[in-house]
Amino acid sequence: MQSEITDGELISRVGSGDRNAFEVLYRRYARPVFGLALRRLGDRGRAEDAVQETFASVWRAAGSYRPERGPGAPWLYAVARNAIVDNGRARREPPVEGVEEKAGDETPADRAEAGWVAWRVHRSLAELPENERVVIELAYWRGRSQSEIAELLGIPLGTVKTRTRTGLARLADMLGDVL
Amino acid sequence: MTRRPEFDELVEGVEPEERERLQRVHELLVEAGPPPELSPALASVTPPSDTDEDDREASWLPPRRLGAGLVFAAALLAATFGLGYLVGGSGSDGQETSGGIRIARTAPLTGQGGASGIVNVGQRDADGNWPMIVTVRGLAPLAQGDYYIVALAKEGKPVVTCGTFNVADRGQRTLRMSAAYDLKGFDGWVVTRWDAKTHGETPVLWSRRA
Repeated sequence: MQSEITDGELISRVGSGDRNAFEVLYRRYARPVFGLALRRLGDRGRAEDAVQETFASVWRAAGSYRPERGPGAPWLYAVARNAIVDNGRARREPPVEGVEEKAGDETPADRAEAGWVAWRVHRSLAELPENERVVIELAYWRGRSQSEIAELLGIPLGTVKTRTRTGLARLADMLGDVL
Repeated sequence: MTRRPEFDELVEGVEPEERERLQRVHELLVEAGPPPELSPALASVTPPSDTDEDDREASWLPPRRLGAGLVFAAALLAATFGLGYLVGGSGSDGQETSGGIRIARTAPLTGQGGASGIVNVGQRDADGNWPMIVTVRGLAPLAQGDYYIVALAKEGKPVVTCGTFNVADRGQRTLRMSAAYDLKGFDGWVVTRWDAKTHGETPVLWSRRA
């Protein structure tokens, strides 16, 4: 049911003081915000602070969100980025680029782009049906082969392949603008 | 951390045009990597109370780094742990209840240094989730940033995460979690310690029954 409500609708409802909408929005975005913050700040404690500051800002500023100016995800991403940057400044230390960052020739624009793409990937994956999400997570983030996944989940290998292909195709649809 | 999946293995028989599109998604997944697990304090949120309506203060935000002792109700601890051990090891016929769930199965957890625990799993709900009450005892408090992970396991290795927690002392803790996976695909549970510095997981409690 939750997935039927767009991010923009949720933010608008939060702007009207809807606590349930806030909770749904938090559950959708806490992990992507945390991932973004951890990547940029390189410290779990500071990243957790940034998550809280992000959602505090969302609660305060959601009333200023205007759906006609764009969907909710980029708006929330901008709020999160501001909170992360503010957190870095507040500590009087330059933000640390996490271990995932490539050294040297990567510009701030590159890092911002990479952060946005990772954000979109994580959010899109969370939108997949459970049976497709699980096989993709096991393949990509647990290093399991298709055969191992079939054995783990107790389903035929062909089903694993079908679910993987379907999940990837669904992700391609959702991520069309960044492909 | 883990081996990169072979794209060819994933998309056998896909038409060339579609294959190109999926290849890009494959690359994005590899580049993005897994999102980090939320700490116990961040994993739950309490919506703002009525008193927050006017000033829109953020006092309702989840308490950060307070330890699991503040996350879950202490009142359930003794009763759940005692009941868990009454039915532990033999499985349940579904007649016992614990913490408001009807227990479908039980798995005791063993560990080193006197640490122990139990997993009580309820009946699968209409949404396909298995409610779980996990009780642990004797686990060491961890350094800031580290935490424990409860995972379903296969051959003793963690496969999918059910939840995370911390402890402020070695006392007993009871945690409510949920598994959305078909338990038939696993053969036990394992609790691991996540080291934030090394990004490594070390098993501290384990079972052989799921």
